[in-house]
Order: sequence, then C-alpha cells, then structure tokens
Amino acid sequence: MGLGAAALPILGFTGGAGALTAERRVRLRALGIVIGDLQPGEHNAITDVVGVKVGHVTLIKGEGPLVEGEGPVRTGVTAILPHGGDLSRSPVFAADFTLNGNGELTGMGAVRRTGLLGAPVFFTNTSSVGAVYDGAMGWMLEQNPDLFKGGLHPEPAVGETWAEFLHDTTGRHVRPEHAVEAINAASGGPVAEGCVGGGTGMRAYGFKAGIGSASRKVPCGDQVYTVGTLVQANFGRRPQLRVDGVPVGREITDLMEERGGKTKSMLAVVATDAPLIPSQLRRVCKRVALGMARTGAISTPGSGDLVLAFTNGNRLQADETPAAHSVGMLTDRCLSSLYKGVVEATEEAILNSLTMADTMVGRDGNTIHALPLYRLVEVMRAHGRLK
Amino acid sequence: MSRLRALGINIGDYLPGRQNAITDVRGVSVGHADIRAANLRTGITAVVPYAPDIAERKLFIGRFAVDGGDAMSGLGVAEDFGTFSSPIVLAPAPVVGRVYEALIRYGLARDPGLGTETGWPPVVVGVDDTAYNEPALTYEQLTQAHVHEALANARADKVVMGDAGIGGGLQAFGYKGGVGTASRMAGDYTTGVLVAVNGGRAGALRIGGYSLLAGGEPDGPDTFVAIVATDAPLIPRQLERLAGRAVLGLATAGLWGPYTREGLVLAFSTTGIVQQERQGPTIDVLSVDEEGLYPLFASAAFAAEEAVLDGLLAAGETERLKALPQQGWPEAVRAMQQDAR
Repeated sequence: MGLGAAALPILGFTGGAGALTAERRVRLRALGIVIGDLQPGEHNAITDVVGVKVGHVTLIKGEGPLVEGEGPVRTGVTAILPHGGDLSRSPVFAADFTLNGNGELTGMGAVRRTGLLGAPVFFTNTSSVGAVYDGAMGWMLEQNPDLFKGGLHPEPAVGETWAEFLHDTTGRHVRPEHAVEAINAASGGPVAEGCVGGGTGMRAYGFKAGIGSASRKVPCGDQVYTVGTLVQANFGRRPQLRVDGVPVGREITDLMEERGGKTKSMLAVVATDAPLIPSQLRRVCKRVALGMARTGAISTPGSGDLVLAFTNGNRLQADETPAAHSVGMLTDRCLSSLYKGVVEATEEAILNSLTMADTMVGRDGNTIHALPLYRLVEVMRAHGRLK
Repeated sequence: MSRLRALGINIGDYLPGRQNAITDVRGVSVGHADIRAANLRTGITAVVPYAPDIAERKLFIGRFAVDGGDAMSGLGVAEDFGTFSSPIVLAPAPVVGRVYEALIRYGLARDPGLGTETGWPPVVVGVDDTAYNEPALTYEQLTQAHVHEALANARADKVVMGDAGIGGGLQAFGYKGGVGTASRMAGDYTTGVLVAVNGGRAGALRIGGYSLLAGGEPDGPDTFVAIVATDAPLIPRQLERLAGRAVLGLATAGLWGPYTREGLVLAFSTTGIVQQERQGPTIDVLSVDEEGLYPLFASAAFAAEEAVLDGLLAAGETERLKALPQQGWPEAVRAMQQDAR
C-alpha cells in the first residue's frame, strides 16, 4: 500500500526531480505513510473528539537582522478548548505529566489539586506565557465574574516552547488580546498544522515543524471512543528522526539549520471522549512519551516535554449543590486500546508537524528547511515501506 | 483507661461514630496479633477494608508520604492506579517480606476461584519498633502464622488500642506509644483513622492544642503510619488529598513535627469499584463534588488528632517507658477549652 510515485502530483512539483522549488505541503497519510493500525477520525485531528475546538493566531512579520522589539516576528498562539461551553462552570477531568521539566505549562494548580480543567489550553513561545495567561484570564473573568468564588479556581493552561532561532523572542509581540483572538478563532473540523499558531517558529529534528495533530478511533466492546493529540513540536536532532521506524534522519543529512541553536521541547495535549478519571488520565499522559520516542526523541535534559490530557466524556457541573455524582471510568482492557490510540496519534501528530511545515527564514537570515517530502517518500520506498 | 472524650476533652468538630474507631466505617475490620517473648514485645495489626463476603475487592486509595516516607509494598499499583485489593498490614520493618508472603498465601487460600491479581499486591507497611525490639530477634520470632492470626482476629466493632498488635513496641513523645483510633461523622459520611503512634519528641505533645507536659525519655524512632477509611465515595486524587488532610491532625498532636524522619498516610474509600459487573467497557463510580470534600478533610484531621491521643492513653506501663500520665492535664485542658468558648 502506498502512493510512492503517485505522490509526485500531490506534492505539486514543477520541473524534474532536480529542479524542485517549493513542495506543496501535505499530511503524512497523503504520502501513503500509515502509522499503526487503528483508524483515524474524520479529520485525523484532535477536533475529532466531539466538542474540542482549536484556533490559531499566527504572527509573521519582517525579515533580516534582529532588531529587538521590532522583529522579525515568527510566533503565535494556539488555543485548544475542551468544549465550547463555559469551562469554568463545566470543567473536564484532566491530568498533566512532566516527561522532562525544562519548560513551562502554567496553570496546573487546579488540575493537580482537583483533577479538573476549567479553562482553555494555550501553546505559545517561551517569553509570551504571561501575556497569553493575562489575556485568557480576562476572557475567563468576562465569561464568569464569579470565577474566584467557587472551589475550583481554574487557571488558563499556557505552555511554551523556545522560538529564539527564528523569532524576536524579547520583543513583546504576543499580546493578551491574541489569546482571546485564538479562542474566538477556535472551531472544530480540520486543524491547520505546521508554521501556525504557537508552532510558527518551531523546528524538530533539524526540520521546520510546529503544530501537528492526529486522532484514532478506539473500539471497545460495543463502544467506539475517539482520542486525539495536538503537539507543538520543537525537539530532537536530525540523526534521531524515524518515520514509522525508518531512520530517515540518517539518510537526509543535508538541509540542516544554517547556524547553531538548540532544539528544545514538546508540548502535547491529548483529548478523548472516553470516560476516564484523573488518575487514569495521568497514565494516558505517559503514553505520549512513547509516541514521541517512536519518532526518535530521547527527551534531553534541556527539553520541556510536558503533557496535558483531558476527557470531555465525563461532564461535571460545578455549580450544583455538592453531592456525589456518577462518573465513568474505562476498564483496564479498554484503557489498553486507548493507550494504543494515544501512541499512534502522538507519533502521527509529530510527523504531521514536519510534513506540513514550510521552510522558514527568520531573524538574521536563520533558516530552517522543511522536510523534503519527495525525498522522504524515496527513503521510505528504499526501505520497502512504499511501492 | 479513659479515652480523651471520656475525660471531657473535645477535638475539633463533628461527632464520632458509635465506637469512635476506624471500624465505624462500615465494612472495615481490624485485627491484631501480639507477640511477647523474652526481650520481645511486638505484633502485627491488620486493617481489612472490606467485608469477608465481598468477592471483587478493588478499592480506591491515596497516599501522603511525609518526607518521602513510602515504605510500603503495593506502592506501584497504589501510586499509578490509585487502587488496592488487599488487607493493609502494619508489621515491624524486618518482617515485611514474610508478611507479604503470608498475605499472598492468605489470598490464594481464601479465593481459589479468583485470579491471582485479586488481592495482589499485598499492602504491607513496615513500622520501626526498635524502641523495644532488636530487629534480629523480631526477624527470628515473628512468623507467617502471626499474620494469619491477626487476620482471623479481625473485628468490625471495637478496636483494641494501645499495646495491641503493632502497638507493642512503639514509643511516642517519650512515653509508651501504641495503636490509636477515632472517627467522625460529617453529613452522610463516616471517616475513621487508625494511627501507629510512634515518634514525636519529648515535649512535643499537644493535647487539644495545649502543650502541658515535658515528656519522659528522649527520642526514639520518629516514624508514623496512619490509615484513613471513609465510606464517602472518593476517587484516587481525592483520597490523596484526604490523606494529606489527616496528617494535619497528626501535626496538631505533635506526632508530625520538625524532627520527624518520615511518615505515611494511606486513605481509602470503601466504595469505589467493589463488586462491579464488568460487562461493558466502562465502570460507573461515584465521586463527591469538590465542595463536599472539605467536611471530609476536616473529619480526617480531627479523627487523626484524637486517634493519637487515644492511642497514648490506651498504652500500658512498661519497664522501659511509662504511659502518658493522666493526672492534672485533663482538668487544665478542659478549663482552657471552656475559656475558649
């Protein structure tokens, strides 16, 4: 199975093999590369979990030498909403996990204390966490002026990865209103990937990366649950890169960043409609690490590899009189199938961030090349994975 | 021997259950085995969290480890899944392995029809009773039969406190230590605590918040274990929090103090996923809403504090350590509590 040679029209080449200009970016599956054996959801994205919405604000401005405070600007905000209702009054069960802690995912207070997420999740660049939190908090207070009166005290969950190689990090380019803009732009359906939102300036395995997403349908008994992952990929070194086990990073050794710089981190959010309790969601978070490892990463000491998982399959009303409510939890047998979905969706989401990202030139002419898809297909074919 | 309440001293809010013991939580029973020999006064205490006729016995549990004090078996499942399905046995540290083995055999003998993962892994907490006992002698004398004895002795009503079971070799605040227990009823739910009262420096004891006594001998092993049971439907994260609140009660009594080496609190709910029909892909469990947790947290703290004090009051005299004297201070504490109203 696989498109192989038939992928060339999809990639939109101009000229012969040696004369490619800009490849059209496509998702991994469109190249005929299939991760795992569970079926993806309709859009193969985190939004396949019904109710989940994703929105991006992308800030790209200027070129040439870095002038702190002015640009070039290569950043943005990605907002992920567990559902479109009032999250503070209708929180979802959630848990987080730190694979390697050199990063920030602010707003885990209520999540760790109560196992409840009552706010949207945001991904952005390292120096913009405060601005995004600020904007999000303003929005939350407007939605619910009684935000601090209840027992939950939700906080916006704001994660970051380091964009300094391309972006004017010290410039105050992300403003609080961008968080609100990302919330307002959030919708279901296909999720834009690559150089968008918080992933705009990011790179992985020495290729341009950023936002990626994928989903899986998980059958169990007479039910079919959906699990989806959205990542902001900013980690890994070229020789490590594996695509469905094929050591692509050892075969495409050119197109490296034209100057140094450190890759850093991965943020991942996992959504599902399967009923899980927080202790189960913490276990789900850990499986993201296994999906990440399948693409080759080792989660270095300098990485901020942080995971948040939530389910909107157990809906709680925070404003009823205190009582005991019934919540569902998957049996271990079904949890096992869900783990498989998480690993596959994480692996595919990371690879989508690579196949969907364009080459980008940022500050001081720093360049991160896109993964060349024609050559990716060639390597996969040479390893017997595509015809 | 009087209990604190009988001396007219109240700890905190809410009323105790019928026995003012962890067994007020329906389904919970406690059994002891006492081991006495030359130079040996030790024992085993088993907290059985479910009635004998319950087949599928997976319950939710949460831990609070003081200064990393996680010396228990069954940690992996308790920590990652928030569940357990075995009696919780407090035993002297040298024989944890032997107790573990005894519980495996107990489980297999009891339920030949059930899978080996039922009742596995055993939850055994090692307690430091070297104030009285040489580890080598404990290791030599304590047998698996003692574990079975403690389990066979388990009762769902009165809990013998003081020198019973694991209480035999404990010391606290310079006095003879022991097993203590208490309970509180808040709203629809009952929460009970059992404490291995072990540790606390001489002079650190607080009774009803008042420090009255200089204490006896200087300090012995400074590690404690407390078990909290509730019939409130709580899920694992909530039980972790409940365990953390119970330890507040131990701190108020002085058992967890600045010099404490380590301590462990395990909190479980008798609801959860006991006897679930596993046909569909999901199991339904009840969980108390956030606002409903706070009376439970307070219950655990008050019961824990009272359990420490009742454990001290129940301990007997020994050659090595005296029991907490019961003269003078009750009247003073009563007077101070009266003034405070």
